[in-house]
Amino acid sequence: MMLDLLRQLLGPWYLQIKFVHVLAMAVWIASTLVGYTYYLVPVFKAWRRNPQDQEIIALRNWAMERFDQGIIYEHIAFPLIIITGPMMYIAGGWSTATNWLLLKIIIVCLVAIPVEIVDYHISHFGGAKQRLRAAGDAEGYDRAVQRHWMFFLVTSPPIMVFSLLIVFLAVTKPF
Amino acid sequence: MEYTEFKGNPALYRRIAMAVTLYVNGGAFFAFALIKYWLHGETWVFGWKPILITLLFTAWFGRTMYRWMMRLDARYGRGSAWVLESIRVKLPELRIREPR
Repeated sequence: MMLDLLRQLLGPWYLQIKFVHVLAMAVWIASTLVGYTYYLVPVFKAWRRNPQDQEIIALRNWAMERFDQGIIYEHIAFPLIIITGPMMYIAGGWSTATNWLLLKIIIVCLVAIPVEIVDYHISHFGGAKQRLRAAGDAEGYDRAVQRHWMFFLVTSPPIMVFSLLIVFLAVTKPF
Repeated sequence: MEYTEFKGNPALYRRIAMAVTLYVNGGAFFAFALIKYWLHGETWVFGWKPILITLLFTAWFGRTMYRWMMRLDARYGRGSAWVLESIRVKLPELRIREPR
């Protein structure tokens, strides 16, 4: 009953909702790509090879804080994806009988949502580097940067592989 | 100040790669199979083709993830493609806003 009402309300707006969903997906995947690949990773690799070099540590910390700031775009796009996804599911009359969609939803629930919850925390809340620096907590700051690097190490492979798989499933609808 | 040593090492990366691979691929397969079976009564997911594809993908992903982590953490290569030159620069920092 409730779903039928929502379907009637959202149905005429399906393509507009899809536009927001696809745009937000593009921002989620691509907004940090250059910053991560060509600024953050080279600096962190230099630090890993020279872990006590104060000049590299200064640049590492600066790049990390700029990345914390730049990831705001990704973190605005992600809630839009999570909101517009179920809206499209209802408006389009989709169900779990559609195999590609079910697999896509499962991947989002298993990979994207847990990763983003941790990412919000370490980028903007408890693990925000700028706040720790302002508080004068040098050890906490260094721990937070290292924790963020470990987060990148663990999440980069699954995020890159499965975000591409999500787009592939949505575009090709292979099964 | 004394900086704490980063805890990452190849053995830890191997364990993480195995755990993440099993969690994502195993979780996705079982969630998909259970929903298909319980909600739609479909059993094709338990056939040899979906299981073989899942196993092959899982093996590829596990190996790729481990190698990816090792490469990202500068464990592979010597970094000889990069020049590390000491120069003096000013790094722009955001001014932290004071609460009103």
